[in-house]
Amino acid sequence: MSALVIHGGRLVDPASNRDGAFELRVDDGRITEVGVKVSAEGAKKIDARGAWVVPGLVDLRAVIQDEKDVAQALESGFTTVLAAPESPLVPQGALRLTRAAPLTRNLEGKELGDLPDGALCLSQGSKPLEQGGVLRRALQYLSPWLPLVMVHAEDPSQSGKGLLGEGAMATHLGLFGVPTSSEAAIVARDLEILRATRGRLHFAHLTCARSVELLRAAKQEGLMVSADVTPHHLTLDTSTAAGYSTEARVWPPLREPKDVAALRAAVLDGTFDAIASDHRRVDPLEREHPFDQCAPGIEAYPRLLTRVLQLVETPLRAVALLSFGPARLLGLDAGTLAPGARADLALISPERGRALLTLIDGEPAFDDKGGTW
Amino acid sequence: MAGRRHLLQLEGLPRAELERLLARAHEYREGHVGGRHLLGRVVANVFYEPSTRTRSSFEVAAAGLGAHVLNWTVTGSSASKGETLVDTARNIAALGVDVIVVRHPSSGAAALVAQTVRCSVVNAGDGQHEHPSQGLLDAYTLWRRWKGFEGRKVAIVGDVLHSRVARSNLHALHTLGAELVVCGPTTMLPVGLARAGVSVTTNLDEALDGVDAVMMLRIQKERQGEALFPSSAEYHRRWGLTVERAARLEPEAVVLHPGPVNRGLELAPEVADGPRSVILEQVENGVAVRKAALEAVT
Repeated sequence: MSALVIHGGRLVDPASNRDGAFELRVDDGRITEVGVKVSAEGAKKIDARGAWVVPGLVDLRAVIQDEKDVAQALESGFTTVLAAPESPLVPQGALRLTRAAPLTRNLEGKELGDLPDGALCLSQGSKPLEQGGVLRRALQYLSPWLPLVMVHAEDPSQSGKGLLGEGAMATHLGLFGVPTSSEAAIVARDLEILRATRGRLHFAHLTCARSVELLRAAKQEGLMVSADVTPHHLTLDTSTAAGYSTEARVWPPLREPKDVAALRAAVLDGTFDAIASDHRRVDPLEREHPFDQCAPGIEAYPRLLTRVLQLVETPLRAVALLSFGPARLLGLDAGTLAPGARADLALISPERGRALLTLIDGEPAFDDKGGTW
Repeated sequence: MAGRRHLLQLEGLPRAELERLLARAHEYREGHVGGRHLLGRVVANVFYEPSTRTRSSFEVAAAGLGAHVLNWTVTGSSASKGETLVDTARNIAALGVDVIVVRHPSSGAAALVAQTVRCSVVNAGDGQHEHPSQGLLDAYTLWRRWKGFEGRKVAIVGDVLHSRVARSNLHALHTLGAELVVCGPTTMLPVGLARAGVSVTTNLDEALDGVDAVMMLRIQKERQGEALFPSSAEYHRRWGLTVERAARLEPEAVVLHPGPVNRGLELAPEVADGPRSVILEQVENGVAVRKAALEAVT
């Protein structure tokens, strides 16, 4: 394997709290040296001027359907993707792609799913867990191992046929609204179960202010709880649905501006542990139906970096939410540029909102310049 | 007229445009114009929901204007073959149709068809969004009596949540200058209805105080599984227009209903058939209004 020296870029590594003009050396797929000046002996030099050098991004949740999704993840600087349990099994190429184990059998929310050896995460995907008793048993059963237990907070008896966060826009379009209590009531319920079982719980894609308040209080209390938010819930609100734009056809639904403001505040104050893409590409044919009949989903990767960087102005914080944070939740040896770590890293262009070079084990998995560095 | 035109919603239609449509409907209604303005044109009725009334009304209106009417029945067979709404719309347009009149259970369906085809599109009801020709005929029925809406107060009562008629009525009557009060059980009043000139209450007697017209919305019995109210008897007692309530209305006040009426639920039979009821007149006016609408988009 070859040796590499990446120089001239802005190194942003939340794990070591480094943000500045540092060089980085890779030997045999591992990071061997980070410093103002590193030894360039026998190494191929990569000029990273204008780019940020960041640990490979880690996605907590995406539906990966084919090679195009894999390519889009790599082009956005992701090196590790935890696919949602509803995701099909596809050739992963160079990407570190694993699929979360279903928390309940067939995600039906009734019987516990099997716990595979070494499972990092059991997830309910985007399916509600209607019976609190099932979560209680899952947290009890899993307490010796404490994998990440990822739940989707929704009370379907409240969300009903809803398509868009409840509010004037939903009323105006004649789309059934989803009340915020549909999410917050389940967050409150699940936190009580967590407190009682002393387990570990992660809320996927929270969308409303009240959920964030409950999460913040539970963290202050010391419960083992974490949560993520998506780039689209941070940057779009119900007004996106004007004219029945299918950009707003996502699940969980887009919310009113006051909820979006609360999500943004929670990203900036550290209440959220990670930003997860919730990438789910929808066949264009699936967009030839009226809004309610369209399958929900958003092609998140191409705009992810732009959306996150526009909101989180501190590079260390932005990169932490996309790499170090989710890697730590999964207990992965990733999300860091410390010497000794695997050389999973990306050169990203903040202006273009995409990666220029994505390395996995020190090898190019995506290379915008086709090897002409 | 440059470009194609549609009638997808009453929201955003300027007052002058609404008044022009009402005036033109009046000319048709009074027999001042007999014109076969759509001679040689083809109007396709594309109904994804059963609706004999609205479809027949459009058919009579189109035929009266000399158009050839094509009834494209969608029994769910195209949908079950996996054909998308966009596919179906393109196929119908390819027949050389001039106007597509579409009724669909999904909000936004008419707008989607309009984005897809090159001909004109008239929304005959999309989900819970709008039913513009019904909104126009309701407005016309009142305008015919009042000749204007200034100083007039209208109550809209019932299941606003599920009602496309209510949304079209709200937009049209608000633009035309009427004062509106919306009433129903809280479970049927979606958030964000109130604005300048539109008040919201759950108390029907309060809502009916001093109104010049009451628009009763239809309770969709098939939705009662969702339990938006405890029972039909309780609904009738609290939000039904009973004989007693009708008797307390202003002497000249009228009662409208888009039909078909659930007698004894939202409306007492004696009121539906009584002197204040203009329900049959609404049906009559519907043809004239739809003539004006079809003419306006072609």
